Amino acid sequence: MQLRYADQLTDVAECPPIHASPPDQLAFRYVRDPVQCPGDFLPVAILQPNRQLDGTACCSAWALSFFETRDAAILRFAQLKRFVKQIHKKLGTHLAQVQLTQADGVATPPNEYGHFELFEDSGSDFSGRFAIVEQLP
Amino acid sequence: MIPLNGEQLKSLPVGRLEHVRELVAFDGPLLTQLRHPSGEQYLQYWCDCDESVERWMILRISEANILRLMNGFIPLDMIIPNECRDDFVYFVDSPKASGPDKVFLVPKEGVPFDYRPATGAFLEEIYSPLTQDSYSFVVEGGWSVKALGDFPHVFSKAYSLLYGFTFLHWNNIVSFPWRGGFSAMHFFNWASQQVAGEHRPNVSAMQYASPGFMRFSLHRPTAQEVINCIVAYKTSNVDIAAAYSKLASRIRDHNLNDVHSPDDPVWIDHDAFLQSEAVKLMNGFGVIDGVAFATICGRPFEAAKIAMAFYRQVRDLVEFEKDGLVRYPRSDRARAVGVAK
Repeated sequence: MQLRYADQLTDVAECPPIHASPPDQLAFRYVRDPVQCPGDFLPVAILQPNRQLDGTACCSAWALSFFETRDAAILRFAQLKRFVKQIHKKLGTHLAQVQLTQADGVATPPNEYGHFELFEDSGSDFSGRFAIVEQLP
Repeated sequence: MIPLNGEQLKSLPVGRLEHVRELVAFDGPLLTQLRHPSGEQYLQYWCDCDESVERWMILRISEANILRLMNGFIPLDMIIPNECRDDFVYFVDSPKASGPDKVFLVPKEGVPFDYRPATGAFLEEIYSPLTQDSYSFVVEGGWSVKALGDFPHVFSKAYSLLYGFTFLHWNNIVSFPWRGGFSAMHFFNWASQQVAGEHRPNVSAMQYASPGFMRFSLHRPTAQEVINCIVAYKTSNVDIAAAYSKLASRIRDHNLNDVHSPDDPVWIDHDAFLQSEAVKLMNGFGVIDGVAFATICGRPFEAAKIAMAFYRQVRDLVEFEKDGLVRYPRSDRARAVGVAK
């Protein structure tokens, strides 16, 4: 398996995390409507190259955020929106689902909020694979 | 993006802001604590973006208010922008790729509604991990000189015991002659000497105000366990207090402090009880497994004495809060910790 951004990841300690493994699951992600590919699937490190990075955040910046359930994604978005009213401009306006396969890369185990990170395989292609589930609150 | 009703500046007048910690983040920082070399604290708050620019609000905030925010005593909307120490905030439009920032000076009352957090947005809903080498307490009210000395002392004792059991993973404890408080003092002195130098709790900063703060440099995960014990004491006080009371009564009524020999046959009548109640007492705090604790302590009598001594430290820490001197955060277990993304 060759990860996308592998060259950049070599400069980041313990990245991807050692406990990341190939996924095989339904997953949920914030997107725009219509889904923009590759725009909705670029890691933060690409979207915001000026961003200051350090520690684990540096590794995470090369990953894509997903949730393992619809409810977890909706809850987290609602919480974020209370802190930052314009968060939809940053993260997206809709929730979409996708069936992740082992060919998509390696994923971290979900945290207690059902959030996990996917480090994409260089051959992964999300074009046409995401289905919008609903508009975010 | 929302038009700003303010004055454009050539650059941000405040330079050399250092990153302290990210307080809220998801696919990048959303709320970041910054520090100026002078010690002044700032918050950098993500507000808006378009295809090419991200907009941040930067405002000067007292460290006490940041602590109150972090500890869940006040919501973010009470801080941003109202608790800015200046009459104005800065907005920085930062290009996503490259190019110079645009900086605006906007009066606090001119901050757009959509750039203010929603009402009642408590940080603990979405907390991100903090640094591992310090812990701060919000202090309130009037402290006597004695209380100022006692609080770090009491805290250190509870901390040292938890550090030994949860971080050093003690597998046995040297035998102490447990007879009254004087020996307890020796035990805690010994325990504190086991703490690695860089993890020994020291008061690294204090702002004496109401609210103010007291910051310790220490091993943060252990400090969090102290807080967890305090919360356990407050929430299941009856059970913990009952175990303590039973142990105290048994030792007092049977003069067990005066039984010096561990081989004295009198222990046959008390060991099971002492062990059982010591296990209950430590299990009540929910941090150390009571059975493992008793095993490590060796004799049931010593397990009972150590558990009781620990109980008293936690009880005393709770008394500081009851007296209105300090406010503890909720335990990290109760709080939603750990989402950096």
